[in-house]
Amino acid sequence: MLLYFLWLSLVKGIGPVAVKRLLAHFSGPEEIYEAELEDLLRVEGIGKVAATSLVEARSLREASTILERCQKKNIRILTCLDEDYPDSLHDIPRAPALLYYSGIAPKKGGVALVGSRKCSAYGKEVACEAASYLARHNVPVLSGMAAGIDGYAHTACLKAGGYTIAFLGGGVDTVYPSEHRELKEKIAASGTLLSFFPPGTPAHPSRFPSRNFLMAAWADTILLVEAGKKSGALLIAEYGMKLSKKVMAVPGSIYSGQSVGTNALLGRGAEVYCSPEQLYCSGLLTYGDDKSGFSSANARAKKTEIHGQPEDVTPQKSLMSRTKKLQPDAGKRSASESDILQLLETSPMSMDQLALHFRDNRSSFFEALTMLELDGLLKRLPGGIISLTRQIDEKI
Amino acid sequence: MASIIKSFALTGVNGYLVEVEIKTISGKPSVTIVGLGDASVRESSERIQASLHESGFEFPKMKVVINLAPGSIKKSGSHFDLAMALGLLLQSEQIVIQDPERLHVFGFLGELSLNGVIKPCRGVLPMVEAARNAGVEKIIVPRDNLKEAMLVNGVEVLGFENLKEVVSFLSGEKDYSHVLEQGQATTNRGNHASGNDFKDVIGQDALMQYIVVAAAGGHNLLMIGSPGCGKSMAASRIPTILPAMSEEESLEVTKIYSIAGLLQNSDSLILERPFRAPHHNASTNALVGGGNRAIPGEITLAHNGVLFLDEIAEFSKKSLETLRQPMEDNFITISRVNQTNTYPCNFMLVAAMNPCPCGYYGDSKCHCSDYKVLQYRQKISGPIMDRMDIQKNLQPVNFLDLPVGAEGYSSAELREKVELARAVQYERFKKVPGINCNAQMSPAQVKEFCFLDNEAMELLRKAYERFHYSARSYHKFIKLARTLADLDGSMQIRRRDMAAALLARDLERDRAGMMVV
Repeated sequence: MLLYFLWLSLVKGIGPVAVKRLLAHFSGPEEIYEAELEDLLRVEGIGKVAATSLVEARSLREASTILERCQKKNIRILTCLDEDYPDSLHDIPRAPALLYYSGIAPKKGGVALVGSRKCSAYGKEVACEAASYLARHNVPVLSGMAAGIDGYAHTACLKAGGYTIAFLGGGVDTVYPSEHRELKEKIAASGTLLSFFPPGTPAHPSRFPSRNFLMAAWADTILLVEAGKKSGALLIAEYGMKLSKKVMAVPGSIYSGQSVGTNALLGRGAEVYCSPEQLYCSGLLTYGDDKSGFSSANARAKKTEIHGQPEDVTPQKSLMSRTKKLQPDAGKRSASESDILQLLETSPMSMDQLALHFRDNRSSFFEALTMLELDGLLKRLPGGIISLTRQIDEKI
Repeated sequence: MASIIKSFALTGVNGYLVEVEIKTISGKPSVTIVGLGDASVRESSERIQASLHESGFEFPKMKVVINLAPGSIKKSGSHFDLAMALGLLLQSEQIVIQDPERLHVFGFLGELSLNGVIKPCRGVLPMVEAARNAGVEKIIVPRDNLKEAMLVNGVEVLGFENLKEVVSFLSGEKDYSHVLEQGQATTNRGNHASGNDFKDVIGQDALMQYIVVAAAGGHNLLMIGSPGCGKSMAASRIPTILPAMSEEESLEVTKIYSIAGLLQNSDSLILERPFRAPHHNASTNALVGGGNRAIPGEITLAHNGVLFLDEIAEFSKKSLETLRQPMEDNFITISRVNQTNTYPCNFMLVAAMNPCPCGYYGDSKCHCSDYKVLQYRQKISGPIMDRMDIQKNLQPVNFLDLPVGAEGYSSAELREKVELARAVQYERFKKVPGINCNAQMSPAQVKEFCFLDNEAMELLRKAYERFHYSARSYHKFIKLARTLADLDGSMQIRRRDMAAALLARDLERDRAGMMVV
């Protein structure tokens, strides 16, 4: 049956809409394969052109090659006749009827974290925070495995032990961009690589819009982290709005090129994203073992009530307890250590800049710096700039 | 009987005695040179014919056979000309030596021009040294090589301008008149001609500390920074704080430069430690040595000094990998069809690179993703990175931030510290063959020579728990801490030494903080 379904998905001129109509009319793809022209023409919405191409394409050679390839590379196929096929896609006629995936069987729903390839440190931080938050709450993180925000979203999710789905703009056996080779392997191990392009299809920008549509259709919520004026990620959010999904955007500086798209989206009615709890409270609940998948709005509300605070420690909580633990230490800091803390209060500095203030006392400076780092009071920014660890109480 | 004249040839950085044997036999006039000479040796016969004629002598109209003994070693170079010409004159009895028995105390080096002028040649220093070791008392060299040759003590060096002069000297018609004081050149030690001084490096105090550590312990150093933040400036000054070269080291370096034909200032030993900065386009052979004659490469030219690889990520992977073995062995053997040479290459590797493909990592204009940054850094393979004990991030200095009148540390001041620490290490490794600085310690020796006090041990343990350093960097931290303690004159490694050592590997810290799987 799978073979015939594969064949059906490969016929030129027959899109997902037509496939679904045919399936509704016939009892199975095999029957479609064997159907005569007249039978096909009887299906609502199938014209003469489409019917002829179906009849003319009656050869299983290509389909069986692909199926063989899938078996060899351990790539599996999900069709709209399967139970695992998400309801969110059932509702959308344009959604692909046949999907290839490798890794574990795709879980339904999730939050799409999308953004530009060339992201800023701000975008990176937001994406990572959101992804690890979602991971901790067993919400699938969806993204496109592109460079930048996408890569960070997947990575942060995996690092926090979460489940992520990568929607690829090529076959699931291709790597794009090349630097994500390792990431791809990790996703295949504990997440899912998903695509409706047959294996071996190279990634190409022309394929990204349809990939984006699939992601928008799959997701329950879409968070646009950063987007320039003409970003592909912006497209996902727009598809999301059309499909009346919940769309959120991260507000950014009006002077930043990476925030032009997000700010514009906010103007068009996207929800303002301020903290990851918004993603959780927006109605996404435990996806983990919930076989039925999509819980109704009522059930969602109830569950939130029951649980109140999620069991996992929120970042705020954990950081709060850490600061508390550190406080009694504060009195015992050496002179150099307090000097360093004071100097860094105004702005982060490089090690060389700091050292300038300790010219007469360098060895105690290095000692103090190491001690502060080991106690978690300092962190390194990219390029070796040293800054104070964010004071959490400010945020609460 | 054949005439035998002493000359010399080169193998690697050393010279050896070559006996040039000349015999004229009655027969059809011809010249044959045997003894595995290359093209430059074979062409000698034409030069000799012309220069004999020009100097007022006659080329014997007989069959001439010239042999370069030992005949089994391949030889190269045009400096056998003088010896061959004199041998011919002796065979054809055109000169009468004042004291024929004493001819064997003379050695001869020099290329002849068609006008009979003696031209300078390459590798004179090691050949004169070989002459002394072979028991030659007087060596005749080209005038232009006189000063270089006189760097060797224990042999009388005579410099001549043309063939005629040599002949009249040997026959006793004229006395040698260009006497120079021997050993004149070796007095002005420690004078840095380049004028570089660390005083000019301002506002990079933390980096300076680690440069001193690197110089003191022989640790290799990698600097990571955006374009224009002073990486090359700092690197080019490192030789000025390395301890002065011993006479032996100076001679080694000068010999290498003599062979490479780079002895520009040929009147003195090279006293300043070499600083070589090959461009990243350099071929593998240019780096490690090679070519037809298996000549020394940059790593040998940097012997006893600093090899600076700017933009190390741009070097071809293959070239970088070839550095691994010589860095371990401190010598390199180059095999070519014509010869196999072994050259010393004991250098300190200083490298610089950009932090990411765009170069501005950490700046708001940098959009390189963490994966991209890591991919860029992985251009330098693990084994090479492993040899970089110190990896420091550099930031461009903002001069407005500096306190008024801020001054860097002078090279002399820093060098004093380095020399002190080196003296401690010299004592420590006196009985350990093949090791003269902390960086060269093996894990077993780390155990033997590095005593951590409890606080230092505790700190190291804590750092490993927190930052998940790799296991192979464990010994590096201890070695670095050893050098830091040496700089302070402490026998034990204290907490502050360990603390400073833990700040020396920025790349590894970066790696730990990156958002990658």
